[in-house]
Amino acid sequence: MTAAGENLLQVRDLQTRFVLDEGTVTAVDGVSFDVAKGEIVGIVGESGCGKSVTNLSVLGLLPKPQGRISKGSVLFEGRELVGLSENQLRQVRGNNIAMIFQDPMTSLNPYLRVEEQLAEVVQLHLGLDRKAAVARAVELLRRVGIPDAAARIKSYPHEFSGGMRQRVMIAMALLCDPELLIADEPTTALDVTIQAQILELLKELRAERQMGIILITHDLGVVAGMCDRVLVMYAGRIVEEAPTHELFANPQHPYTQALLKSVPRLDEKIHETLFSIEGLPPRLDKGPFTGCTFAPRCPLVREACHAGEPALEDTGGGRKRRCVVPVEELA
Amino acid sequence: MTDHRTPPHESLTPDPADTFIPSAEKGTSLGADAWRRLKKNKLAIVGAVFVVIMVLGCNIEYVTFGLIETDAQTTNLPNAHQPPSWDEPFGTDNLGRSYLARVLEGGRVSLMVGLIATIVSVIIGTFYGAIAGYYGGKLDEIMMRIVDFLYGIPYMFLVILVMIMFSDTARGSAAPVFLALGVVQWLMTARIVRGQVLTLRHQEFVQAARVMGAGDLRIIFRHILPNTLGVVIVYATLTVPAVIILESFLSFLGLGVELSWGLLVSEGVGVVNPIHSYWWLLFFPSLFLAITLFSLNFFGDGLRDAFDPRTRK
Amino acid sequence: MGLLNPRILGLLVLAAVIFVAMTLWVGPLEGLVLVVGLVLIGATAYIPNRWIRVAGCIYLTLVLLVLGRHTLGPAGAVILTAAVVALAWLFLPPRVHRRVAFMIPSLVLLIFFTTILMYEAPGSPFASEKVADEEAIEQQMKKFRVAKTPLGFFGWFMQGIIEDGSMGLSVKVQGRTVNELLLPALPVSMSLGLLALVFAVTIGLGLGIRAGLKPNSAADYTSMGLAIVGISLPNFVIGAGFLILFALNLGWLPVAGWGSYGNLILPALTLALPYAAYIARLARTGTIEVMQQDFVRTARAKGLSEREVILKHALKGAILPVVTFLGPAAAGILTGSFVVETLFGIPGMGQWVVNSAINRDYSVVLGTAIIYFTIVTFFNLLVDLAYAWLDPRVREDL
Repeated sequence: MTAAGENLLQVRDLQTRFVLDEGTVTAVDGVSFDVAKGEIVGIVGESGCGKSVTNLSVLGLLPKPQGRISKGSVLFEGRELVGLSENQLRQVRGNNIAMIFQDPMTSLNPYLRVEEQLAEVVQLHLGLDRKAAVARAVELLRRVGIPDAAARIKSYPHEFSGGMRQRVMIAMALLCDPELLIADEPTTALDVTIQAQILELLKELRAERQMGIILITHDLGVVAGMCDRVLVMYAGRIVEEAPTHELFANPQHPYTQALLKSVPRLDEKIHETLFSIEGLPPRLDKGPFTGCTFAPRCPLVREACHAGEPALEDTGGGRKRRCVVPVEELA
Repeated sequence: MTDHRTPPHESLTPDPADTFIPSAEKGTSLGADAWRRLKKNKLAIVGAVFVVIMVLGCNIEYVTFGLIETDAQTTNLPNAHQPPSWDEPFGTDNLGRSYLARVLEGGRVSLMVGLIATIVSVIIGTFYGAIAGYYGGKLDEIMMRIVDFLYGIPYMFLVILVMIMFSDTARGSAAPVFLALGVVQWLMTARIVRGQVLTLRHQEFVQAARVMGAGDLRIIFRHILPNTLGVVIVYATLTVPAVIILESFLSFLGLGVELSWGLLVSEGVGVVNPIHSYWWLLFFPSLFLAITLFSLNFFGDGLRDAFDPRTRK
Repeated sequence: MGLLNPRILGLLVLAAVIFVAMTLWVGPLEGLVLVVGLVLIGATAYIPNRWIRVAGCIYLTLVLLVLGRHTLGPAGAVILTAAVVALAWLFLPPRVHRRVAFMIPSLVLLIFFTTILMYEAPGSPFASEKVADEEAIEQQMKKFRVAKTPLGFFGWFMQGIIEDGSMGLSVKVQGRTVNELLLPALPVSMSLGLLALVFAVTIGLGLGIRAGLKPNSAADYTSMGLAIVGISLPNFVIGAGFLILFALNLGWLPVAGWGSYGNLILPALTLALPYAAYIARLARTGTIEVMQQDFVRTARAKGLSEREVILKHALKGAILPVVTFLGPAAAGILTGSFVVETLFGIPGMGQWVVNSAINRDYSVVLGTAIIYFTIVTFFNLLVDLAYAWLDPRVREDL
């Protein structure tokens, strides 16, 4: 499904560590995945499972000096990003790969006009003069659905509503026609109706520009409606990868199963207790782990789970999973 | 006005300090947490130890125990301006008084000024701030406007006015100085306590107490003020050195108490020049003053960081 | 019913208590004036924005007319007042009007209360007169327009200001008016204070931002160590050190006195150091906080260089806490100058503050109070405006 030619991003065996006073934390361990042109890849998992860190690693935006990529490779259109100098990375950021973040209130600079925040990206990467840059910014604001964009561009972020702010963020990300958009929980901070609008907008833009999108979320509903393929992450590792409809129809990892079960459904009886996963994810600073990281919480745990970490095996049909329990037992 | 600081969401670094919410509502666990962080801060601990040593050291009755032969007031004119020696480790001053005894005595007064003025300021500031913050609205606005107003008056002016209210002569007894310094120092405490109370009063446990029928006073004293204690202690610790410095300013201007480090230092400044260098008259009180103030500041900073780790990371 | 809610009742009780206390302490008239003054000030919090502009402009008119008449003559004063008030009416935001409406009665009340304090304090300007007979003192009091009661003195003092812009005669410095004593000292203190403020801000911001960009680095520890030294040593000790080192031993700068720019550097630096230290700490905390904000991450994700991220996106947020501190800093620097002026022998305002208070030279005390209060309030207003200019979210509150 992802032939090498149309591959935008290839992440291979990525490992990211944070060196803190309390010890070293391996936040992302051995993550590999691809993103093709025009494809929306979802990354789901609980808070702290490493989904955000994975994507910050791609752009070299890890908090310094604590965080660094300790292993692995990130190929963007065939070009290695790991090990690039800060200056070389800057050419890519906002230009070829753009990012939007969870909370549009705090992600936009409250002290600068929207005009300034948008135009500076265009001036930086496309080398346009100020006037042309502003014109382009207005055009994109209009495209993302900001009414009266030419006037509104003079406003400060706090003068927009939450949904409008996220539209501004999206416009900002699209200014230089990036090939890849990383959206880190883009709708988490928004009202449900606004969420739907923003997601719809992202889909339209994908179709229009053939850009790849990585959608980071913990909301399985968003994944179902948006993504072509899904990666499930747990404790810094990918535990399952599958095309979206297959993942939902037939999860092949106990963690994915549990995740799906913990989503409330309309056809359930009201008085049934909502399913929740027992226990907490492992402390990443307590590693290295022997055996499967999900074993302590896994309902299907067995002897073999503690023997060694299961490999990410290919189960065919574009599916991968990291589990020793036979697929048949999971059904 | 919108607050741009939203509660911390999924943080990039899994640093425990990031998920710490700096509100006082957590009760004992907060105290224990702060204590753990404080213990890790070596400078703060060293500061605390030095403060204790200074307080004890200055308050021992040396003369009674025969550790020093003469007290701070006994003059011995033929022995004036002696440099430090085995008999007089800190030398003698222009009247031949033992400078060691004077430095220790001055330290006692300075520390006392710092402590008492701080207590005065904390009491006034806490009550004022609590009332303004708790009742809020226009009352709060008026009360805070008064604080702004007093902030607008240069504090030294206020101190001088309060001092002349209570003493005939310029260099008075210690009480007016305590009072005057306390009266100008409470403004900061009031602002901080008000800010704390303003957030605390909307919290569930206060609402709960109100639902249970507790009166305003009871809510303020039993539920809110104990929760501001940490912050108040932190600022009190930082107020002590500020007051000691202020007192030294007053001494320098000829308005302070009769004997204090500030006075000794300012007298020392007057006599040190290239023509006749009685350096010990400046050196020893400055050294003691500086060590004490360093220690207090390090300790206070340590406390503040322990209670609010966002400031140091 | 609105008048009887507990808060209003509480305020009424408070007013009554103040009145009774003042009556017992000084007299009923004084109590009344104080309560009226407090009500006027308190009212500024209640007046709605529509009317606050009227109040602000009325106060502004009064002040400008009084001030202008003695410097520009009646015609000039009217023209100036009309022009300034018209501009203020049109362009000043309500918050500034509110501050003006608050400041003018505050100033008058400050004069009043200071008068009471001085009168109630032990000692009087004539206490040390050698001939202590009643008649001589009474004559003296008449000559120097020192009334028997604080209210009387307050009345005369205000009358003097309004009628001929004069703050009266100094009792202790024979034959000199307060204006003659203070007006030449004012620019001296002001230039010292302003230079100190400039030093404090530049040194403080430089050290603090550097430290905050790399917390827990060597640069951080050095800067914060220096800051603690600045906070922990009385600045006259540092100043004396400077004098001995730079002026006496090295001979680079003049020892003391007044007259050249060289005379300003050491005292201004001495005065600035503790404030530089505070500013450095504030700037450090502000920088650390702002660098953790999401929008800084956004700026990096756009591909901006670290330099642009800091200068364009982070700096404003980092210096906001410093801007808030500038008001108290200015007040502190002005009063701190008492000490520094004494140490370096500078003929500024400080000497008059201290001496007049000790000597109970009533009109000089009031004169210094007025000048300091006006400067500090004006500066606070500037700080407010600067804050609003930096933070667009506050701008709407103005």
